[in-house]
Amino acid sequence: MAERPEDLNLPNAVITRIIKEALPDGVNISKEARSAISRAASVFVLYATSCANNFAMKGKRKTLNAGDVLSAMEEMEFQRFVAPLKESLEVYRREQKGKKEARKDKDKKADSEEQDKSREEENDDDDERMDEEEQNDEEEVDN
Amino acid sequence: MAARLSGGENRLVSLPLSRIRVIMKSSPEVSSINQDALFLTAKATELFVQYLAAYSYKHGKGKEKNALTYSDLSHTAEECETFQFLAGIYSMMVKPVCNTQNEILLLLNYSPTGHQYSVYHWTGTCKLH
Repeated sequence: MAERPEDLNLPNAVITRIIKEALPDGVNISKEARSAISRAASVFVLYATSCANNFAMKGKRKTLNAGDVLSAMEEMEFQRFVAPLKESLEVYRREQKGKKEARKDKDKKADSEEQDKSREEENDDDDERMDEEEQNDEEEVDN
Repeated sequence: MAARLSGGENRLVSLPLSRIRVIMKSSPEVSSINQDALFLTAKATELFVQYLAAYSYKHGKGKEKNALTYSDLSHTAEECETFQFLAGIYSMMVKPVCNTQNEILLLLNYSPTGHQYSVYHWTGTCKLH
């Protein structure tokens, strides 16, 4: 839950990286421009949420789902996002399903042969932990 | 090290989902969000950031100096219809204003110098818990 207004901000380092990906190499992005884009991104999230929620309410549902967000994009005139979003969602769903199955396998193995953990699974866990650490580093550097 | 690099580069979404969820939940009418909707909102926000940056650079004056400036962005918010929701007339810097119960009463736009305020058109209140 948001406790302070700062909780509505997005991490600057991540926003900067995303901006750089969209611009030609070597373009200088002023500090004010970064901050303006970051705040615009927070407003975008609120605006999209509000639009998506209207679609959920129309459907008499309490939980926002993927369809609501995609409808919101159309409503907001960001139709251009719909196709790439659908593609990413497919990949994301596959990824989540894979993770779930890996977890199930792990549980099974843990039951039968507790000591013999597969090396591959251990590596997977390490990757996830590192990702989290990386995220934290970035946030700290910027604050 | 290699694992760390590949993990960072190939991640499907780089914005933290936990933070996106906090922002979404700050909207009082929203009760729950499923995982797909959360992922899509985060991804859409990334696309939005790229589109806003690329559009502003392409149509802005900073391009002559190989730079993306604040005025390029406020120009976009004022001139481009798609980005109109950002146009707080003067600028797009948004600052939430809270009452004593810690509810956001409104979001204010303020100039880079912080002196000129104008009310942002998004009037929903969001509770800070």
